[in-house]
Amino acid sequence: MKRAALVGAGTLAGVAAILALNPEARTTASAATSPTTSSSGTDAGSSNSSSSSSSGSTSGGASSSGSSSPGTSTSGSTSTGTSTAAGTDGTYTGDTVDVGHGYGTIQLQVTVSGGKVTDITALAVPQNDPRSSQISSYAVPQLVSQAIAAQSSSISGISGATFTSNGFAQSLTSALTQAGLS
Amino acid sequence: MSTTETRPAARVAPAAGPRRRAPFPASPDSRVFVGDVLVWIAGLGLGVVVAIELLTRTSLSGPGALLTEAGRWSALVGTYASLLLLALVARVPILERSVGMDRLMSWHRKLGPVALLLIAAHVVLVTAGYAASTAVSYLAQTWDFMRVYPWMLPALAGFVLMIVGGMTSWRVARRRMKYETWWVTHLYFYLAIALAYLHQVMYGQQFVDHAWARWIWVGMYAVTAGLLVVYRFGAPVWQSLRMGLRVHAVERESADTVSVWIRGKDVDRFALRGGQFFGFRFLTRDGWWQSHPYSVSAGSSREFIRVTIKDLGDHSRSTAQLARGTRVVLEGPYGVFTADDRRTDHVVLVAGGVGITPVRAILDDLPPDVEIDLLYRAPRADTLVLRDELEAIARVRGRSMRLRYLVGPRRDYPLNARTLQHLVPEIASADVYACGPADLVAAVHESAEVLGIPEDRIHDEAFSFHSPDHYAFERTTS
Repeated sequence: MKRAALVGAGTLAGVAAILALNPEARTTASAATSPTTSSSGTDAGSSNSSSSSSSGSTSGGASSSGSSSPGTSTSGSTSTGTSTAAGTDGTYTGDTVDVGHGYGTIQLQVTVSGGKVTDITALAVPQNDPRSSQISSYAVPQLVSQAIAAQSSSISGISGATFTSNGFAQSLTSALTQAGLS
Repeated sequence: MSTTETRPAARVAPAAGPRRRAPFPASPDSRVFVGDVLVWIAGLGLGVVVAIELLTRTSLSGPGALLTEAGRWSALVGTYASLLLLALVARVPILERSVGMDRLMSWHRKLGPVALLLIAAHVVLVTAGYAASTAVSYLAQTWDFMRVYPWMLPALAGFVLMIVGGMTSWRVARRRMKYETWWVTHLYFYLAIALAYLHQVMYGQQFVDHAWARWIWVGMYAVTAGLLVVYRFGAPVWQSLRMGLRVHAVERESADTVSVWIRGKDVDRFALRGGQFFGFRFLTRDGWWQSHPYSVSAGSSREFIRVTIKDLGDHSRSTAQLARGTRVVLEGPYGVFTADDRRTDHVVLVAGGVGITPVRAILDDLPPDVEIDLLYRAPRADTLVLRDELEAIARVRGRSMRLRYLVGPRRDYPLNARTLQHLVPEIASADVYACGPADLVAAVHESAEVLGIPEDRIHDEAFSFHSPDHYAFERTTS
């Protein structure tokens, strides 16, 4: 039918026009010049191999060195404090962990006081896409409570936030190791 | 019922003097061309939507990622189809003129289930994909969506409304239901599409970090909403109020048929063509919310519009009791079954039953030098409505018009090629117009093809007149 062919021709023209204009490249280019913009437009390319460096550090007080590989420590700044039997008091920054699948990275800062973990702050949480942000916003506070209660990285995790839970535990383990708590 | 003194005389002489020009696109050829362009534009929009997903899709490597991606595709294409569905019924003048309402309705009916299935697939696939990615159960994921994403609950409510609307439009269900019930549930689609909107722009992977895609999407919604507000709702009300349209007289034509005269100021602004119809909304206490299509049964004048209605549904029965002075809102005029499409100077008009009404109006638009053969089929002589008028017109036109009644059971006058050629020997070189029940129109169309009459000289509008199916046009031809 002639009109079905016209719809097909229009569709091809539409795809071709947008691909030719390539608005995504412009967004990415502008994102590169403004460091505050997270450009998840690059996710399509880079997160196919999640082992490569994750896309630019997102906002939210992430560590100064923006890129990291999964499971590698990027900073271990340690402020020394009073040594106790259980652990050394102070603030310890854990590894930046890529939780995988392009969801983003997680990095924790652990405060040890009186030999015990008294506070855990997330310096970075997965937020490369709205869903990850949502999951982080409800899962991370619960994970923090779990970890403070457990005083270790042996936590049960949050269902529906498996990857965030795993990354949380990894970053926490590295911080606790520095504090001599594991 | 009003007395006949108040009834304006129906004009029986052919139109004379200047009339308002038909709106763009006017000529049959330009209408086909504009229709093609509009269809192409619909394809273009689909292409843009496809490109959005191609440029914004995320990694396909994680668990469930393929399911989620498939769900995103069906969401985008399904939603685009929903917007097209709305545009098809927005009564956009250029669409009505170039494609015609019967075909627009037929497209709307075919595209509707596709859109609904795609959106259902989106709901299933994205939930399955997300559940797989976080290794939770399907139900837990559904609950998570509701808990974590504030705009997901309205979207779910919208989806439920779509399912309800879709089920009631299903042919089998619809046959068992009152027109009014179907109509009200069908209105839910507006609400459903609006409810689903925010979860798209708030959470859609395609839009959140891609401003360009978001603007295109918002633009598509804005254009659709604009078309509906302006053409479907705004224009009819505004025009009808400005013209001060009111019921002038109601007149009985036969045991089950009445004519309603509407009076207003400068009604010729409608640029009405004989053969077209309006959506009628009589502003009575229980009728104002319903619009019903009725064919105009007399050519346009400056002051009056006449429709002739067969007593079928509840609505047409109550029409007979309309009080003089009742306000009326007219939507339209619609329809491409008009004399504008005539390509020769000989027209053969075939009318069945109350299908005579648009044919009667077309007569007013035919110049005096046109040869006319009018074949009027009816089961009994007392069901020949507008008979006096037709005979008066035939007298005025003299030898150039031949009026023939085909009264009796169908088998006496099978409307096949042989009968038609016998009744009108030169039919092969004429324009053929057919209006009436769907089977009559199909028979005439088929016969005309057998006689070698090209498609552009066959004109029909096969819809079930004034039946509970109302705007649901059935295209019976090829």
